[in-house]
Amino acid sequence: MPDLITHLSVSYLFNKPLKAIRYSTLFYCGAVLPDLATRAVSIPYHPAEFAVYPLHTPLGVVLLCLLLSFFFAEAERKQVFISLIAGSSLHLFLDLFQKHLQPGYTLLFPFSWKAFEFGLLWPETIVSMVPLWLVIIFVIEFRLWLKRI
Amino acid sequence: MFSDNHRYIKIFLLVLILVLLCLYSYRESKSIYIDLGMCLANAGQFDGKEILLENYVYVNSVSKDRFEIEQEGKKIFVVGAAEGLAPGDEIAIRAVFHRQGYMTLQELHINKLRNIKIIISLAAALFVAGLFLIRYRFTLNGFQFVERASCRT
Repeated sequence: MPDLITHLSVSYLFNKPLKAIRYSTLFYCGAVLPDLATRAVSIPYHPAEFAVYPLHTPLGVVLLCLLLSFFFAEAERKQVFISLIAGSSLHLFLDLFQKHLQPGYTLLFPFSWKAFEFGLLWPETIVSMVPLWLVIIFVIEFRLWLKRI
Repeated sequence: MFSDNHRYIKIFLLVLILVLLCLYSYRESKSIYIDLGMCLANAGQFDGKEILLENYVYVNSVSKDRFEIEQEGKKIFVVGAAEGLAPGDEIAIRAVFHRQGYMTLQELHINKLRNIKIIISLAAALFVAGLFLIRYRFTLNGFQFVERASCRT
C-alpha cells in the first residue's frame, strides 16, 4: 500500500478541482478505508493478514461501503455509498502502481487468486514523495485562502 | 436497495457475507501463500523449490556471504550477498529452500521507510477520523450517523 497521506493527497487533488463528490469528507474516508479495515488489524496481529484480506479487494470494498452506508440516514444513503466507493476505488487503483517481488492485488477475489499490479514504484519511493504532496496541497489551500480574503 | 425497509436484515446479511469471505480467504490462503514456518515444517516437500517470503520477514544477523532471517518466530540462514543489509531490516525475499535448513538467495528487496510509512499513515487516519467526527455524530435514535447542524449545507 502507499501510505495514507499519499492516498489522501491524491484524493484531495482529484476532488478539489473537479468538485465531483458531494460528500467530500466521506470520499476522503473511502480513500483510507481499505487500509484502515485491513492494516489496522494485520499490523498489530500478523496472523490475521489473510483473514481481513477480502476487505482490500474490489468486491469486499463494495460490500463494506454498502454496509457502512446503512449507518447513515436513508435520504443520503445512496450519496454516502457513492462517495465511499469512489474514494475506495481510487485507493485500490493507486495501489496497483506499486511494485512487489510478485504482483499483490487479487482484483477478482473470491473468483480468482490471480494477482495483478502495474508495478511501477517501490512503496518506499512513494513514501519519499510525501513532502511534495504536502507542499502542493499547502500551495493550493494558500491560494484559495488568498482568494477568500 | 438503499431504503430503510428491512434495514437490520440487510446489515446482518452484509456482515454475514463479509465474514464468510474473510473465513474463505483465511482458509484458502494457507494453501496458496507459503511462509517460513510451513517450509521448515515440511522441509522435504519444499526442498529445491523457489519460495517467496514477503510478509513480516526481518533480518536477524548479517555476515559476509550469508544472513539470517526471521518470520513469525521461525529463523533460517540465507546464502547470498548481504550487501546493504543490516539487522532489523524488513525484507522481501525470493530464494530456493533446501531441506538441510538454509536457503539460496535469488532476489531481495529491503522494505525501507516502513516504520515512517506506518507513522504517517496513522497521522493521516487520525486526521480523517477528525474530519469525520467534526462533520458527523452518532445517534442511538435510528442507530446512525447524522450530519451536525453546524455542518449542514
